[in-house]
Amino acid sequence: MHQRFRGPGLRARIGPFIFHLRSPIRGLVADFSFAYADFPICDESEVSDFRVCVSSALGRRPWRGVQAQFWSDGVSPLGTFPRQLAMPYAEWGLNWCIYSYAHQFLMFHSAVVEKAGRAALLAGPAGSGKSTLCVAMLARGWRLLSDEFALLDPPRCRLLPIPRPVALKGISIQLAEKLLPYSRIGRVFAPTRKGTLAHLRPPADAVERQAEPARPAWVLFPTHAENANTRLVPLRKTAGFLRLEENCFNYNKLDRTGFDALSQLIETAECYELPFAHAAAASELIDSLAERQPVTDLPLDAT
Amino acid sequence: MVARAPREQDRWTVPDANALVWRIWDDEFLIYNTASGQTHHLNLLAGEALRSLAATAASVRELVSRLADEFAIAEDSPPLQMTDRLICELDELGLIAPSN
Repeated sequence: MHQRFRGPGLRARIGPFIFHLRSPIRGLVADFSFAYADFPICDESEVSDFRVCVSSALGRRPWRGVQAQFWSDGVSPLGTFPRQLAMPYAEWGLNWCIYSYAHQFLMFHSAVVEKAGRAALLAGPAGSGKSTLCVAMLARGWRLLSDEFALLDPPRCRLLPIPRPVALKGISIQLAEKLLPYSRIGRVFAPTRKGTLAHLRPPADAVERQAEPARPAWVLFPTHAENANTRLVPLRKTAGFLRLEENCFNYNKLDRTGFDALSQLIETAECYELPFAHAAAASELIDSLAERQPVTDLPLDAT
Repeated sequence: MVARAPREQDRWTVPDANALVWRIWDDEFLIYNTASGQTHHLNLLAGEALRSLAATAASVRELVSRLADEFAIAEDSPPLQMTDRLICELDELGLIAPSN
């Protein structure tokens, strides 16, 4: 594996994309291989969407320790960073590739989980509790579509999975160990610019089903606060639209297509604010939404 | 650009009604203007005013009269007393323009 990363590189299918990855950094290869263990490897004839390299950087400031750099098709968007943090920076680099270029999708800053073909978006900025709530939903048997991006396919109004590792921060690492005792969590990185960080290997089932889209059914805006009164607060559709637009990476880039796609999503889905203190209680509320709304639609492969 | 206060003789219209894409949910309007690429959120009164001007140009007085009919309220009722300001705001947003 290390030889392949160091030499010609590795092509991995991650959601709807093929990433061509190269790196001579042993620690990164080990971390990446652990977190992405279940993702299919593509053969060399398949064209990659993104060509990515994480390399050692020349140390102009030796007092900062050994540095590394993320490259994507000749662009280095993240500058240099400590080599021991190569994995978190590689993940942020992959995020950058997606939100900078994948404008065939309407993209939201949101975790997405699915049950019975219907997806719940957990949308919000960093620190709102998306990943923590996402872990709690996985513990309730929901499928992981994404921890970071909701990828909406505009013509079909379907959410495409991109089940990359879940970025666990701070106390959510212990929560994941408790709620998902059989899950695999990688090395803990500290300190990063987002605090203590570890990556949860996505459940094998989520990776196996990464070609199965889901229908948006609920849009939730979680906000975590220790003293919050955990509850679902229904939002009017216009409010839901405007809140989700705030969490969209490329709404303005897509012009009319973006408006139509976001409108269609909002027409399809129920919108809620979700202040919460404990992820377990919040996940129970989301589960109750799915239980009280019977599945009446045709399966996705029949539409 | 700051819109000037509407004069009594001005008639107002939507310059290109086909450029506006409408969504109406729960008595609220979301309007996407394909000409500017902007999305606007309007309340019921503003949305109905815009819809009326998109159908036919009108002076402020005519618009007040139409909205009074639409909502079955008096022409001097508080919401319609602000029609001048509403016209200014819709003009500033680039959704309407004088037709004369």
